[in-house]
Amino acid sequence: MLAWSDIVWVIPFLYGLIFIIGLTVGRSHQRVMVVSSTLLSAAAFIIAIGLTWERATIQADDYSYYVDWLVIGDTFFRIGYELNNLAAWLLVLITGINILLLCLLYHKQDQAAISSIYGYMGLLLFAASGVVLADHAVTFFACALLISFSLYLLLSHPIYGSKPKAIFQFITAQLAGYAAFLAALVVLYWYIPNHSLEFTMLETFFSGSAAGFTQQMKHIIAGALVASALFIAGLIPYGHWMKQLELERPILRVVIFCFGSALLPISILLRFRVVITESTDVLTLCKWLGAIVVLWCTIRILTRIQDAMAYIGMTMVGIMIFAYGHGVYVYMIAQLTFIMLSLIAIYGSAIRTSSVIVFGSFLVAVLTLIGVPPLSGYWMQQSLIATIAVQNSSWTIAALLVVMCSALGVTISFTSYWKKLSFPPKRGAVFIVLWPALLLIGLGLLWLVDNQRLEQWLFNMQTMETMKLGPMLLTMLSIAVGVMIAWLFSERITGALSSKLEYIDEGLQQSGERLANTIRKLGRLVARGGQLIERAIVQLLTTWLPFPLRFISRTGAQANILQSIGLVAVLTIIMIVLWYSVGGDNTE
Amino acid sequence: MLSEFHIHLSTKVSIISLSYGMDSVSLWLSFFTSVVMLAVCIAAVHIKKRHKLFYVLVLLVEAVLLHIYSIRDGLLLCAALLLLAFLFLLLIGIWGDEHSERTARRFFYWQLAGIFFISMSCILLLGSSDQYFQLSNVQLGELPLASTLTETADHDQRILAFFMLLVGLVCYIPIIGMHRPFLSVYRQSHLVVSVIYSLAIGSIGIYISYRIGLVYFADMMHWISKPVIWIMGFQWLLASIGLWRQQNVKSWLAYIVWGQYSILVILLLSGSEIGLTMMWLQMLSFQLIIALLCVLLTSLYERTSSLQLEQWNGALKGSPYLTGMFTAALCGLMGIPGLSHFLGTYHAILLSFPISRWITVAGVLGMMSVVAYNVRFLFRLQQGQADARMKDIADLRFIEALPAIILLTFIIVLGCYPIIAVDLLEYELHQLHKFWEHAVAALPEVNASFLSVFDFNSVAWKLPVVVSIAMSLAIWLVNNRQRNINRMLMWQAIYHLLTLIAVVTSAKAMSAELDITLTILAAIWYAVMLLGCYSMFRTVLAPEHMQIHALTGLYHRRPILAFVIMLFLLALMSAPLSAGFSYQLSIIELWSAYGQYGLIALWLISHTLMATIPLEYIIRMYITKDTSLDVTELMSVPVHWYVIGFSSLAALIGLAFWL
Repeated sequence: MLAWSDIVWVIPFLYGLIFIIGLTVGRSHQRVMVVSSTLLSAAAFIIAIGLTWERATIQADDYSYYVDWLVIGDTFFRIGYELNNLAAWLLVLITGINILLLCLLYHKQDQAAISSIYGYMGLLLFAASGVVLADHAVTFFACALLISFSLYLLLSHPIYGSKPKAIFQFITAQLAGYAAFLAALVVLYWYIPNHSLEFTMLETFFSGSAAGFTQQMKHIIAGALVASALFIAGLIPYGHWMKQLELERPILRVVIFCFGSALLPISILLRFRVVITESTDVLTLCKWLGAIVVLWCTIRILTRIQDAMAYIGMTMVGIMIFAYGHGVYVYMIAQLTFIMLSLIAIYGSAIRTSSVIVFGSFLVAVLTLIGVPPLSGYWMQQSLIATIAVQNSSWTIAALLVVMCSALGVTISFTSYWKKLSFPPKRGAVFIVLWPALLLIGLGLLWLVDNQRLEQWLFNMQTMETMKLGPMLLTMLSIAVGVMIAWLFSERITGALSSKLEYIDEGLQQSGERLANTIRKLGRLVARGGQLIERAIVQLLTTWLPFPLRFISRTGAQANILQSIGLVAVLTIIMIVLWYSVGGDNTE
Repeated sequence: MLSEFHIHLSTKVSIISLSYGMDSVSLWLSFFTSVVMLAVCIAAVHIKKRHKLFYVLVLLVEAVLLHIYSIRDGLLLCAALLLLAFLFLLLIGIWGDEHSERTARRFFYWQLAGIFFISMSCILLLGSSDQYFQLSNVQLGELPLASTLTETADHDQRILAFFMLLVGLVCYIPIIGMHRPFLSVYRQSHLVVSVIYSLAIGSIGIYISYRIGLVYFADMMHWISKPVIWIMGFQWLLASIGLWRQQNVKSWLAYIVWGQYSILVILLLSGSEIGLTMMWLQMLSFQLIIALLCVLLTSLYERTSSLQLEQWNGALKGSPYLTGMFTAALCGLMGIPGLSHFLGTYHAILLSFPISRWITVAGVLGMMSVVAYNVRFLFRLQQGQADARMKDIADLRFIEALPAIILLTFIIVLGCYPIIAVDLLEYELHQLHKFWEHAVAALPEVNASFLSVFDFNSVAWKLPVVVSIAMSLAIWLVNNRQRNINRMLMWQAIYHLLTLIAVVTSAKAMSAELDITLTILAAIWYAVMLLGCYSMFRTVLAPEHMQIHALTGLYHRRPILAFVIMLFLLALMSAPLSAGFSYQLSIIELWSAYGQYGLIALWLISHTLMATIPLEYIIRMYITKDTSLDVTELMSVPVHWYVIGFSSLAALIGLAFWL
């Protein structure tokens, strides 16, 4: 009997409780809020650890549970959850990250922790755990919406003072993303048997012949889902909101990136992979998009160093999408884990403790992201290269280029970040940065010991290639080249090249703005035209057509009694004559 | 158990009965109406002008609404709609902005037109089947009877009844191209009145579509569902885009409500049981959210003394509770999961897909526009550049917070546990859906022959009848701007005489059995009414001042006399609860028994038009704000005018019960 799996529902419940406490009791009792949210988060983490351990050791089947939430006729709306190994891993990740974030929040004195922030974090984690555990596409959609909503609440919180542009770009991207998601759901709903959008149903249906779906429909649905992931992640040129967020808000950046730009889009891609993989064209598009995003972001980092921290996030998401296109799902999960842990360590190093331990942890995190051997990041990069080389050798060069750009970007971004940090001596909780660093090292070792087992455990498949010498060396070379370029050439890019790139960049921006202005002008013209037509019709119906009647009424009001009697008589005779001439006759 | 709550009392006029019942839809509507109207009443605590009259009218509106939701007779429903329209005339006119008098007048005319068409629809429906006519009245919510009617009814008459109903519904549910009266009501009314309007008039339109449209015209509703859903989808998009051009809170509210009505109609006509259920969930949620917005908007209005959106920038800085409530209300409106609007909005998009994917696209774009605008609105309220006087805005008081919290609780509970409401609705909606599926199996054929139902060549159309109708119309044309009270009463007397002539002549032509006693009593009643009306005018005005402008502001000067005069004028209009109304119904009963629908239609048109003349005098007494006119107060009034006037009033009331 699986004890921990039975109580997995407690995790979202605990986070929901934090949200309610944050908006009610916590408003006037901040200490109560801090203590209660920490304890409840710790409890959630323990449950997550427990069930992951249970699933890792007992080799249990997927576990699901549901209740009938609403019944209308023959239609059952169910709320439930589905626990599999992937969900267990993600639960551990998000609950663990949450505890570290809470600790960071507590120690960051310039962001004075107020109860509503904790409350919104509770809502965010509630929604995130819902996304991880959802067994139905609509539940997934609702929880995803709640994630974006809670991120919006955090972003627009007065204490962070975010720029309006950041908020509006975030909202625009989310709206576009959810519109595409909704479109995919609507089409799936109407064409799938019994209108059932449960993930098990999707898997069963699309693993078979998927009757009723033409290839074009599959392309559209897959494209819509991928588009939604991309929009939600913020991979919109010139529209990425992270650029507008100040570096002095590290916790906000970490939260928004981890949950909004990374976890949510990756969850969409992985949960709906059975649908998306039906369209090889869309998968190819993912490969291309991922590569282009990484390349473009790298160029942007080189030319606009001030936005480096925003673009590095996009680079990491881009590389995960590139991997998704090649079906290397375990890479995505591993990379997501490394990114989250590394960001905690990197941003946590700004808690103003100058110590070797903090610097060391920072270094471990950065080197993991770069992919320097023998850390865990390197093993994942080389596995990616090896897998792609085996599947489709024509993409190997692109993959090496992507890995090189990733290394280049990370190096520039985080070294410039480190240079900007100031470290007045102050005691802080070192474990906040130490713990993620140790985990990163530990995961690397785990990979070395048994790298096949993770993919088998998470996805019940074996696609990733084991360590091969050729890919290992090529990967090492790419990373080295990337780091070298970053160190040697990033400050030496000629002014002419830099200004040329900026000129192209400005030109593109201006074209985009001109297009937007044209669309706005067109919209205004259409609206004005519509208004004019409407006014003309109203004028015709209310003034010109009834004019004779109004004239008669005015005359009657001004006339004396005899005149009005005469007018009535005349009108009556006219109407009677019209009546009989039109054909009103009672000769029967 | 709910079906046991049924009252049926026959009247002297068989086509109308005092029939009331309760089912799940009525129950929920009544319950939620009570809750939201309570919240709205509390929100109206800031109204200082004529606040006693305001609360009287609001309570009457609530009473009529609860009455409407429990009515089970079609013509009685129309009578209640008339009362409601009159109450709104006063609410819009008295507490509105500078042009509210004109808006209130137009609103009432619009409603009169709608009620005319709905009444005609009920009358035509009544006579469309011999079998059905034996039951004598249009029973609401009776599926077995509707099934019988569908099978036995005269096809052309049913089609005409359906078109009449459709035209009538347009006056209740704003449709693109005819949405200007709807928008102007919001712009000119007081904010609280606009909210009550949203809760009342639009909801009634949906309710009538459900009670009469889906039950008696299921096949025809199915036939028009696709084009109507197309229009609604486009309308939703237009309303969502139109939000961006609004600079005033009331205009913003108008477009929000317009968009919501579109969603409700899409769900109503989706042709599925889920659509019907979601429609009622969405309706209940809509009422809650609009009421919550009312509380919050009036709170802000009271603090800022402005309804311009620009001037509300930064108004919520330093008001955490107000901010939180506003966020919750707008999130509810946007359809955030966990709140009551999510399911309905999601299903409106989902269920529009089989009609056309482009409607779904329009719906999604509309939602995006609403969300983007509301986020921008919220941001400006919270973090916009505040004016100097916005810096010390007080947070919610207890009297404001309490209804807001109650409404928000309902919104959250309905969002998380909709089964509370759905469970009760399930059986009724399931039955209706099964009936719908059966009814839409054969779609109606429509050709122009349905117009022959208006038989203008029948024996009833003798010369005196033609002259009466034509003269009535001519009287209205010449006298609808009549300012002299004596002449107005004279023409009213002539009009009522013409009515009696038309009735007697047509009855004779049709060889119908006419109740002479009733006719004589009606004549006496008209005479008493006119005499009483004249007497009461003489108690406030000298003979040389019997002009309409002398009545300006009479409510303030002589409230009791103004009220009595209003009663007489309403009696002149044959308003519901008056003897004239019963007599009109008996005439309709007589004519409909002989299939004289053309006569009914033309006579109702002339009667409706004539009723607008006394209405002007009521508007002048209660609504007109022009204080520049010099009104001469009558210092001494001969007692006999009081005696005649009040005696006539007593006789009026007595005869009303008798007739």
